[in-house]
Amino acid sequence: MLRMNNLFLKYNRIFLFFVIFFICFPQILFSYTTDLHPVTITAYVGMEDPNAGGGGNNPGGGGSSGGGGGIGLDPNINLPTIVNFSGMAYPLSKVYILKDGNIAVTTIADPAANFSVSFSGLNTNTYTFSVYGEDSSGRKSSFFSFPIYITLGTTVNIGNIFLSPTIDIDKSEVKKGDNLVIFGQSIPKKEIVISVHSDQELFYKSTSNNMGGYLYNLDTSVLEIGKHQTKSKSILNESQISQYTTPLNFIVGTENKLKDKVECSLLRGDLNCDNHVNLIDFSIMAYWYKKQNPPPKIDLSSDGKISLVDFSIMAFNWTG
Amino acid sequence: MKKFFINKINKLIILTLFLLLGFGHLAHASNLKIEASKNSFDMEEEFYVDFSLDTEGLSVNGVEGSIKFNNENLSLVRIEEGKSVVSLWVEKPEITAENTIKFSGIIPNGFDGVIDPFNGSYKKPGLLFRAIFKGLKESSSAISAFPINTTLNDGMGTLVQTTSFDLSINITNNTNSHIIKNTSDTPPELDFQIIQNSDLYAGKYVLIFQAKDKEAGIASVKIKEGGRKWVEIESPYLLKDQSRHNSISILTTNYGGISIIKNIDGIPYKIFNKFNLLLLLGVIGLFILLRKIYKIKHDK
Repeated sequence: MLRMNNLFLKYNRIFLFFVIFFICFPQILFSYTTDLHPVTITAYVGMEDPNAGGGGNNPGGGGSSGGGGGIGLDPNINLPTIVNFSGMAYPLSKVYILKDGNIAVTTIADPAANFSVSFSGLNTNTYTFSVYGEDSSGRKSSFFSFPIYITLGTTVNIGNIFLSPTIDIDKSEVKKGDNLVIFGQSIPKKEIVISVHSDQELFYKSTSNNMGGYLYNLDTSVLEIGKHQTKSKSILNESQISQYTTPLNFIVGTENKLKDKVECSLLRGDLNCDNHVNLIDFSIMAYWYKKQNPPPKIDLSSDGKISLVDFSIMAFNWTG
Repeated sequence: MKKFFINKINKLIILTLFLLLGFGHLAHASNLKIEASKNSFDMEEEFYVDFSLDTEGLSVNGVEGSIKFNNENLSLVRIEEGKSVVSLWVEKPEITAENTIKFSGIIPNGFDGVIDPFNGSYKKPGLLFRAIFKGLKESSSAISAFPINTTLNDGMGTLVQTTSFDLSINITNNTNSHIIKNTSDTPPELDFQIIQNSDLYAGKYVLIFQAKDKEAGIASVKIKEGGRKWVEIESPYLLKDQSRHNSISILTTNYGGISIIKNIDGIPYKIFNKFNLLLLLGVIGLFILLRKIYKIKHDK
């Protein structure tokens, strides 16, 4: 202890500097630095990408990157306003692009899981675009959201969108020692990391097949009795790792209970059970806003009232 | 003695560092920015105040709050939400009887700042709404926000502490008749559906809609059911005509004065339903029977 104190006496000013620095810039400590899905965002004015002949897109270092430039413009020319989206989903899966919460366009990924889609006809304004994928069984990926300022006459490329896998489990409760099947879809022939979260986070690896399907038999003998969560992510290469899926809950107990297949929906906030969270569900929840005794299935936070918290849970799962 | 104090200071520093490392994320708040083009305006001069959300890197998907101002010094002309990052309003920003602007809305799939595609490394705050005020008398007053809540886009609706600083506005004793016009070249958009759901007005026919105008903002949405009068409505709206036989017109107008009308045809009456068909067959049968009786009587 005495030695420690001597050390602090010696480096007193350095400590003080760090304390003041972190008080002023706490985000340095707590920002999300594990952003390993580098979406690239580039823009240019005009019809042709000025970077196209010069070695392709800016690879981007983390989160998003910007760039681009302009060309000599004739003010009489009406330049198109285009937003291009490209990335990877699952082989032959459906990919949805939302504009301000409404489905603007859908496309189908190719057998290698690549997708690209573009749309035009936008005015100068701020738009919030969201992207998500849906696998062959209707399970959905996590969402990518891009609130972006679009200027008339520019082309914006949003590339390297690497969607998270989908995930499902075969049981809602599994007898300790029995297997829990964790499965879903991702990009083909790539490594899938499955996280099982209880007191301690455990990681397991699987590999997706030609169609992107993956399956892992989890031996639950290593887990404690009680509630657990599982989620997965896929790894394209060292620098490109997808987001995690939304976690799924399961119980390790004394009996096996198959997951209820007729359950309304996996999506929290899908109040009318149509496998989408959209304006209909929002309207149903808005009807109960600040009303007494809302139905339990609408009170997503189970606090006996409909508040911003319930709308937030719905907004997280929004599919358009 | 000196050594004792230095030891105490060191312990304090270590404690602060641990607290920062352990609980720093709790202090990581988003900000509501209240900004005007300048701080001093003349009497009768219209000016705008922007209310923007700086999430400081956090992804948020819900925001609600109240804005207060002194209505003896300032008059609220209107609120424009057309350029807002909020896609769906639970409570559209409106002035209440208590002289407070209340608002509540969501941003589906989250918002962590507006990306400028020409400078992707920097994210700008997102506009929630713009309020147009007018100075009433020479004064100095503040526009303040409290309380403001935002929710994280984490699937659990975690509430985040949101801070804001008051905006001071000085009104001079000069008079200026500057008016901020709201112009728009484009018509508003309207998405709508008529739905039935057991959790919404006990399964009756309900109109739900989302009116949008990214330029000027939506001034009003009105409905006309059959021969009834135009009435201003909010979504969800319980239809007066539950038979659905009357046609419906929905008039959406933006603050630029441009309107669109969408029409929904009524469900046509079915002439040949089961009951009508039986009735018709009965009438024909009765007619034949009466004719036969008449003929028999006539032959006699």
